[in-house]
Amino acid sequence: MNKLDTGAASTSSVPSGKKASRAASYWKRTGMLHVLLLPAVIIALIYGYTPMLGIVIAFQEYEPWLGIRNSPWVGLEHFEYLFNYPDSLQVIKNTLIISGMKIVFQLIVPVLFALLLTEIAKSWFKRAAQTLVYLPHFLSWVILGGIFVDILSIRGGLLNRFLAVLGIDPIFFLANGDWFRIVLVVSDVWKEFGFSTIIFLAAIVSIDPSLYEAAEIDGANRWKQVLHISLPSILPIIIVVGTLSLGRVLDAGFDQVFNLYNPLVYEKGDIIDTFVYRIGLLDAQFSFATAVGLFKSIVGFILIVISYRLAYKLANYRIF
Amino acid sequence: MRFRSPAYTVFSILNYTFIGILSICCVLPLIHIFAVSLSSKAAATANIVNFWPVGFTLDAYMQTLGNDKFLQALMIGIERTVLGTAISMTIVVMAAYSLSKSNDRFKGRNMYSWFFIFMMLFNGGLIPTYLVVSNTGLYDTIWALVIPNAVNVWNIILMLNFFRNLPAELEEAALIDGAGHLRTVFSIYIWVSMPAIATLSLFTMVIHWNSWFDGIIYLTSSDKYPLSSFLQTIVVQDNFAQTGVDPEKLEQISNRTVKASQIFIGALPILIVYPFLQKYFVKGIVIGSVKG
Amino acid sequence: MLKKGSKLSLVFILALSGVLTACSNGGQSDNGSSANGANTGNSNRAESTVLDNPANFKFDPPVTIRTANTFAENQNDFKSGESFEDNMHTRWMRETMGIDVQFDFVVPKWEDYKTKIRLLLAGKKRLPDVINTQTDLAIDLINANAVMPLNEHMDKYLSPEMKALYDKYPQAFAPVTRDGKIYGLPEFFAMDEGPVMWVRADWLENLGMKAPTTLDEFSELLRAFTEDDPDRNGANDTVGLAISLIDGPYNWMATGDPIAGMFSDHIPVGYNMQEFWTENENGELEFGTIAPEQKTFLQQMHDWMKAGYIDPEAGIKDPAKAGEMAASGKAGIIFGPYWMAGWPLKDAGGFKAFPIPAGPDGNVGRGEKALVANYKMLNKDFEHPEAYFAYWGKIYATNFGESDPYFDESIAKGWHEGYDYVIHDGQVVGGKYEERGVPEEKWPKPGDPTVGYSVKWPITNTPFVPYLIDASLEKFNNDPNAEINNWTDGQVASQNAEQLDAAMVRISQNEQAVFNLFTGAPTKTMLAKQEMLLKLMKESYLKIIYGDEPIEYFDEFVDQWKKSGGEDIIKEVNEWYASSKK
Repeated sequence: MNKLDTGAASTSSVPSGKKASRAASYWKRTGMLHVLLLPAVIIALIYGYTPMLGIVIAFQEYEPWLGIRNSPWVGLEHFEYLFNYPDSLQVIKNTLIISGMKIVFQLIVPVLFALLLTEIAKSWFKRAAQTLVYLPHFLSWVILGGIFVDILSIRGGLLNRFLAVLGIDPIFFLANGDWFRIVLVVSDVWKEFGFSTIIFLAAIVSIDPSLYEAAEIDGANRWKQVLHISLPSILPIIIVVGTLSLGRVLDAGFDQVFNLYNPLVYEKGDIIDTFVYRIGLLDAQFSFATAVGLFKSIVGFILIVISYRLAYKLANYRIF
Repeated sequence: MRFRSPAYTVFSILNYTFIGILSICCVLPLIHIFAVSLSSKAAATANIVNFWPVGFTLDAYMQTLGNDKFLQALMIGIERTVLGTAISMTIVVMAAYSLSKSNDRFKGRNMYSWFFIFMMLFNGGLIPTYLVVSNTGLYDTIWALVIPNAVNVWNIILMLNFFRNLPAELEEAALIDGAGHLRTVFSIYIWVSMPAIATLSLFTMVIHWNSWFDGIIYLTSSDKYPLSSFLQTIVVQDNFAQTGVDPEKLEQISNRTVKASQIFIGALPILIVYPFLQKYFVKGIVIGSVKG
Repeated sequence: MLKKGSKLSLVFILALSGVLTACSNGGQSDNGSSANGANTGNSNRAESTVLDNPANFKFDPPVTIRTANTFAENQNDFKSGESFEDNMHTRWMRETMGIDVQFDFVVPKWEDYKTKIRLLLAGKKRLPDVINTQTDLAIDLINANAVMPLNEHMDKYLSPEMKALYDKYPQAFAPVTRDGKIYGLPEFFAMDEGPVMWVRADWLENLGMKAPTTLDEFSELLRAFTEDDPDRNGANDTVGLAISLIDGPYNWMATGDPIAGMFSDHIPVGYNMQEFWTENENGELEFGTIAPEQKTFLQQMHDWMKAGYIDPEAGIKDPAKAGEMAASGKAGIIFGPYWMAGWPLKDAGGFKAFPIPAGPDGNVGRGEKALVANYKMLNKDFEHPEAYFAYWGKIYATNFGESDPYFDESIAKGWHEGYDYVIHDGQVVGGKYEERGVPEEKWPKPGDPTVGYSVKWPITNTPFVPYLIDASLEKFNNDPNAEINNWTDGQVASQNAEQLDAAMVRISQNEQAVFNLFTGAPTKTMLAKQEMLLKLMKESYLKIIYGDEPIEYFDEFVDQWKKSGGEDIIKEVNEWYASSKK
């Protein structure tokens, strides 16, 4: 504690003079900042970075009993396999389409919902609605898969019965590729938007209320306030969430697709992860799986770097 | 609220209706599962239960709650969640505080940021991670479930953005009072960031509560499983194409009602916690008063 | 910056070297503790313990067998306070045989089990003494040189009966034999899951129709069940056939192999490529999926699908989901095993089992499940293989009776009294305790006469001998109160009347069973191309059945299948077949 206090005290004194003492004072001002980061850094090094050495098996024909040291090197063979596989372009395309739509809607819907929810004056209603919309997050796709097959059934499924009332012919949602993609996006948004809303709600309630008071005095109506205060205030969080989700652009939701897809929609619904799963099913292909994982990470990394740069350039905002 | 314009009233009515309907859509599946859990076996097998129990019975709950292993797993699940959330949030808040300083004030923060971002995106996969976890002595202990994943980069980044949005005067005031960074974080920052901390704690809790694979990989016996791993041992239905079906086991394959009750009971604890955290992001904190 | 960088890398190196040393230490100590533990004196004594008294051997001091297994617990699996790791059977092993079973891990799913074994291999950690494998993992373990050859032990310890059984199914050893050395003990299925045709008998009655015996009658019945309101509810809400086509037409329930079997003995399988290979007149193996007769089969399926006789959602439903449809009273016919009368068709209206109808040329066929369920392999450092073989001998001997030297009278009729059977009026009763007049205090679970506690096998599978169960099924079908004379009887005794009736139907068509003749390990091209070929097959079959492609598309599919690696697979499989016949 002593050391801490001296460190803090010196922050107010202006560093002066020689290089050595400047370094010392720099350390005094920021030393504790390094210390606060230490636990995270240590755990990251041990459990994040050390296992990363294992990425080399992407360039090997890894067998568990041979280990990394003795498994034969195959260079880029696994990557070639991935890109030369007859279906792989289609599969990557499906992944990007499905995942892209999910990222967009998973950003728009929760933000809209959070804004709408803040307009609810009755506290009990607000709380109840918030609790209910967040429930689906807790149901796994194994369970929901069966439920959705029922709801979307062409023979008397809930949705088709509803469409019948409107005079629309029954639609075979899970057997038509285009509908299947829509089902994936809508059901994913349905499952997760309530949960994602929370972060934006937290951002909205963190807004300094005096801003609204000032706007009201200026005669701004509610819509103007949302447009000029709420939205800009939570924009950083929106950008952060959007950017981070770009890092997972090639994860289109294995559990969901796996529990809903079928041969009738392979063409438009098969994604990288289900494809890798089927290949690995017969044989534990650790190397191939690692190679695909690496590919996904690299793509995600590039996208994050780009959006980080863009945010900095256009908005002068450092996302992280 | 003082918005009384006719347009706003119309909007309000529509808003209430829309949110009401949406809420109902979200709760229906859970009601369905609840109804199944209260139905007779035959009705559940034939899948004729909608939102109201068919052939009402409490058998499934008697069986689930009468299973000592279930309750044991529930306790371990709670232990894991509390421990994991506490560790992770402490690390996250500390790291986010440092990283929320500007580059001018904390040289090296950018390097740290990219260090974490890189770790978030790249991972060595199952085998190397397993080797590190077991060679650091965590294998078959609850620590294997809470330490390796304690650095949640997502949360660090969200948290640092929240910290950054706090008024600058806050920190200045603290430093003038002679408080160091450590005290600034734990006695000022976390109190004014409750909406964010509640939110991220909830996220972390939910992750811990739902994670099952690490339990199965790092623990050796179902006696030690947290609830989510334990549920995998009963909810999952195997593919029988290449294994045999033992007719004596049929009775149990058909136990959809029990499974439903377990899903329901399994989701309950985290649902119960929710309202307690909820108040922080419904109401928020009046920063002005702290500033004052 | 530079300073900090070097600091970081120092931490990094420290962490890393810690891991590496831990690694090598672990490896060393494991090897040290396990190697050469048993000296010759001990092993001779252990050997004589078993061979001198096979029926009542007991190891003293007790020996430990370490194992790992898959197990998913359900309610009523154990009496309160017992578990998979510690129950009546494991105690019995310890007390009567001196065998102490220890579990390195227990996981719910087979997939997780394989992952954990591979992780142990990767970490150079000690594997369990007894390892449960299927072909893929078995091959890895042999390659890793982690398991011991069993030839000597098999010669020494297997009973003549057991040897005779293995001699009967030599193909079972193919995947686990390398250079003449056998590395795994095969465990069999009971071979009782060949499908029958389940039909709503009450609907038949409503329509004044009979169960179909030919394709035409079958077709007509599908029509009537779809169009003639068989449930008399005034609504057009039924279909003829509930079936699962999501993984191809052959599956463990709601299967389509009896329909394919009307047109030929070729069974199309969509979940792996090791099935179904049958022999043609030239003595070569042919692959069921691409047989030309499938064209007729697919044409027929398409016609029915188009007419609405088949559940339109067959292509997106798994077997359990298709079973639901039958159970809910919306479909009148479903093909599947005899046990379906216990689930999902229990209390599901008047389903009754009938023989599979014959096709246009009188052909009847059904796919028979693979013979081998899995293999047990022994860690090459395992010190007490004799203990494992002794236990193995003892539990299998219950199938063979007194002639088997391992036969133990005390477990002849059931395993553990008060668990899987009770003695009432001097008779063994295994199930249906209430009907048989057993007083409640004697029921294995007081208060619930339906519960019995079967053995949860810790280091083996259920010790099935293929087809042995048929005799017991027949016996209990004739007399539900028949006496239990061996434990297979005990297994069957608790089954319900509808199941037994269906089992008789199944047995009546045992002759029609089609066997898969490829029992080798997956071939090289299979491993490389299987995913694509299976996807191609499932897509093409469904496209034809759903009418997205005309029937001529089948030829195109076969061409593409062959070009995409199928041709090579046919070649490899036949090379294996030729070498296995030698």
